[in-house]
Amino acid sequence: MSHVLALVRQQLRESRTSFVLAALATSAAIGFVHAWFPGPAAVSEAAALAIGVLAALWTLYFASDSFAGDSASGRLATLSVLPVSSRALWASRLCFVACASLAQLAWAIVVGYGCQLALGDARSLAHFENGLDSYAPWAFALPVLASAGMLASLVVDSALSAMVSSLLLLGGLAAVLAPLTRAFASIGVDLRLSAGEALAGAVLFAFVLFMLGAFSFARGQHRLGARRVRAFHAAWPLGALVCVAGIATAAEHRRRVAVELDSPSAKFHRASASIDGSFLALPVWHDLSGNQDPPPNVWLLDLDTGRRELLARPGQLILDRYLHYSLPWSFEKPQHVLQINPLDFDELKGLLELRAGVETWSVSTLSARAGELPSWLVTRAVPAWASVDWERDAQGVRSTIVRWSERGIERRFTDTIPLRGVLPTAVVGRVLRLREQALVHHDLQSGSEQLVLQGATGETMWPSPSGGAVLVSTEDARISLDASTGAVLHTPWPSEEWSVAWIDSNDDARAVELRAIGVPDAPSRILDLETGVEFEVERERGHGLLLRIAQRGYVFVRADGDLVLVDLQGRLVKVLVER
Amino acid sequence: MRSAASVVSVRGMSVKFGGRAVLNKLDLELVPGSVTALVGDNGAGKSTLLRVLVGALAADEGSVRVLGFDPTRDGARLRARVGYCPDRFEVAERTTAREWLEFVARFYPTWNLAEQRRLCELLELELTPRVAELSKGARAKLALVAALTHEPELLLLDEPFSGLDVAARRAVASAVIGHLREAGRTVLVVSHSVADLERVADRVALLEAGRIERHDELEAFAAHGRRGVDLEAALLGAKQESYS
Repeated sequence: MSHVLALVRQQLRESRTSFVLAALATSAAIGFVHAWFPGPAAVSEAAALAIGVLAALWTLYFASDSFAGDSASGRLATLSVLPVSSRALWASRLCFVACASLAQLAWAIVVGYGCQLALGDARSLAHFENGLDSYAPWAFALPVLASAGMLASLVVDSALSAMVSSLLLLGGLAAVLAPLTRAFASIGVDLRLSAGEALAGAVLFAFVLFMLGAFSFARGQHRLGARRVRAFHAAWPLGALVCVAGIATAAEHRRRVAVELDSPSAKFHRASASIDGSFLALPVWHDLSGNQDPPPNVWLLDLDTGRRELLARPGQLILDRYLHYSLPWSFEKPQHVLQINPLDFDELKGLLELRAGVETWSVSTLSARAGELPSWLVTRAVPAWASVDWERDAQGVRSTIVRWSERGIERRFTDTIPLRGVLPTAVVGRVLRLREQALVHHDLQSGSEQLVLQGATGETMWPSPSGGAVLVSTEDARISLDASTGAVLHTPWPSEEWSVAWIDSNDDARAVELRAIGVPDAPSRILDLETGVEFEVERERGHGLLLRIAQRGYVFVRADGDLVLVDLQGRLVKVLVER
Repeated sequence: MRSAASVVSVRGMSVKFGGRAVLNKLDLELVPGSVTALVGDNGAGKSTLLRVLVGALAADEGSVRVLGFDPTRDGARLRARVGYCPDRFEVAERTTAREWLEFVARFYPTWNLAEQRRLCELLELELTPRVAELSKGARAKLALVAALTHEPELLLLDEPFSGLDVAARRAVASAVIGHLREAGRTVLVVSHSVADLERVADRVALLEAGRIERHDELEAFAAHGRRGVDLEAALLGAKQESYS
């Protein structure tokens, strides 16, 4: 013990210039705060913050200088041939760092109080003390900084390098531990800490780093205090920690992104069927309660044979850009599956091209940017004669631009939402437009308008997947209309009784799902507006998927969780995925 | 065969740096009261051997006993009984020579202030200047005083004459080391100054290619030379023999 004290005293003696300079810098910084900040409250809080920052800075500095400079200059080698153990030498440096840091902290507090007494009043003093109290819990960061600084000081040659290295070390560990915490959270282990636990954790973490430093220092001393040996022994436990955390994170990431069709946690929200109705491209989400949902996997199902194949992990279907329906696919128009995450459309980088045959299918990888996509991969609700675009002006007002290329006509509809406020119809040159509570047919050639429906409310209509029909709300009802002719397709549904929505489909079918409002657990009703066939289905609402496949029927998740195919009359045809 | 009376006993000791063996299966015995000159070319491993003996460097293989201690395991206890004067002596520049000696004295219960004064007078070492103000020779003297004042049983000197003027070299060679020999202490001294070694050593160990090639009485070693009886010539002859 006497040897440790002798070493500490010597170190303090050798560092007296640093002490004086640090104390002067502290005084100047706190004085500057008092001169610069206006008002007693701001000054007091800033001074308290400055004390915290300075304490952290000096702790990091003295810890970072504990070995680096002496090691590079050879002074550490001279000390090493004294009759002291490496443990004593290490302990003396630790004591020195503690003494130096606490002394600087105490000095900063004294200067802070001194400034308050000299320049402040009772109110500002109270603010100052409150500020100190609020930063006090952060004191746990000091041993962490000290331990990281001392560890880095064993590896590099200068205090400045050690300061930077220790901050990088702490940042790197935080970067590893953050995903690890999320990984544990996903398996139900909550690593988030209370204030007390964080304090204990920080002390424990600092202790581990101190021990690691002591170990690497002792090992280095066996080789002439070799820095390389110290660095090796300091690095491998940290490397092991990073590797373990990395492997755990990777494993958890894989668990998160890998979702099987049969998994009870699988969620089905969208699907896209081939035009011939033989195949289903099915994005499957992993429902992890309490966590950010990972991106889905895309599976391909053969509806005839039941064969299934993973197409993309992670992946997502490209949906109708404006209406968010699925985009059917065929040999002629292969479906493209967005292959990457994030699912921002503009970030589109990789595409899978599906080519389905009678008995086999093939997948190839393409690449394209969103702006290069063919129009049929943007929406299918716009007829061939027209194209739709939109832009936003400086005031943020959105305009829909409809172009009739053959005639060279371009018409701008200000303050409208593409396809929901302005919809080109199958009749060439005719646009269905919602304006001033009226639904009108607008003739692009002449600019003339013809009233279709008076009394429409809201600013949007709901086109069907192919754009051939729309749903429009009035004061008291939902009305289905043919987009081209304006003909009413079905008796209006009272708004207070029924919720109505188009059913996604791979053809031009006009089918709606009806749900009774105010009746909990009421079954859905599926209504084909063309044939008038209507039936009930027990559909699990947690899964958004409801898709009509050509003339084969409807795909949805039954109340028991199975993914099923029913025919157009509602009779079960096949359980596609049993869960 | 290990001598029970050996102050230093090294058997089959190897030290490797980055896979290269600096010391290779080295054997060495130092008997009490001997003053042994360790000689060899630059990079032969002389300083490395001294560092192993003082416990500042762990051997990769072989056994090492110094004053009955394993230097790696019992380094601190061993160093309390050994005086080691390294070839590179660095201390804080703002420390004075006196402060440094006062600091070092705290680690040695046997520190002898009278001996410190005697040595300082003998070597004409001023204690008031800061280390930054000391010449190279004065630093070497300070290192020597720090290594000797606790009256060690074994003294390991690495280039103690380096940077010293003629008077100081004679003082170190004759008065200091000669005094130690008379006191029955064991000394292992590394130097390229053959004339100084001749003055103080009674044995010579030649380190070549990581091994002790010859270890003999000074007279026997010198007489082995082909071209004369002086140590320098003997060393040259011994090297030529080892090369041929």
